[in-house]
Amino acid sequence: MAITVRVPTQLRTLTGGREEVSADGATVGAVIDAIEAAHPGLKDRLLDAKGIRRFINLYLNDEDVRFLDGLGTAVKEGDSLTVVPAIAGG
Amino acid sequence: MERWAAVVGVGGLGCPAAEVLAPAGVPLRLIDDDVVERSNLHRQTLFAEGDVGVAKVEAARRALRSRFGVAAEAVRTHLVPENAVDLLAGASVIVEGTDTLAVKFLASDVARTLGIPVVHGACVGWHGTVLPVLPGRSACYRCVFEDLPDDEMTNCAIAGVYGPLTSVLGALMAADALRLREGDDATAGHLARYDGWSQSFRSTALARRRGCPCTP
Repeated sequence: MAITVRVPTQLRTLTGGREEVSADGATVGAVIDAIEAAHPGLKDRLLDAKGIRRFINLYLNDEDVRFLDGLGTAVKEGDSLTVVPAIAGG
Repeated sequence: MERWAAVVGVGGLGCPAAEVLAPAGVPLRLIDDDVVERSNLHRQTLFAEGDVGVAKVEAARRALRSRFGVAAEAVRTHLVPENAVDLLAGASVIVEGTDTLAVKFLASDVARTLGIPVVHGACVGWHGTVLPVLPGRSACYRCVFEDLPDDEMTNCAIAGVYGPLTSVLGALMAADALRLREGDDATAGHLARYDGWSQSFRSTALARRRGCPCTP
């Protein structure tokens, strides 16, 4: 099933400038694997050896996946996964 | 000053926030160590061409006096661990819009320690976030972002900032600050995310994170 992944400005160099990419997967982790296959380097910016990087938030629709099942959170057709990194600037 | 607000970072977010708070009758302490640069003028709305080279806090103090007839306190310094408690103690609310992640964590930690509401704001490229926090009652900055990043992916110098975005987010920060200092917790712990490219706005209520220093 395909879901939409919303990519923040800082990571769009890895998606050819695209704000949204589509990816298949049954879980958040599988979706990230899929976008890594299409856009190498993205996974490393989101995850480290312990899981989701501490300064990255992943929202499935409007829910923080940390408060769901983390990378094992199930996704369904039409969902959107939004990447929100800690940012500074103004 | 009675029920004053600390504006930490008088830049793209701090300027429009101050422009809302000052005429609303909120006494301000402006904290920043930078000087106005010409490249700031498209988004740092308290400054004009003649302010280039002047300390931001001083130029902002003058602008607030001339535009609104209010006297703000200008403190030219970076917020660092050595001065943060002294500079922020007694504030009714902290408005933090700096371009340094370490200062965001510092402001969050001091706000939690002193029990002061704080509004964090940030903008990079076309994207901005606002997080109002009521210490002990809502998710804090460390609940959302546990610690400093270990690389430069979040450096705003990479992507720049779309000028009008900062006024949108700065006004939103001021709106949240006005609510928080009155004890209104309706938006506390909600991470607002605004995308200026698509003009989409999302606000997500966040739970306090187990293991965060703010959580018993």
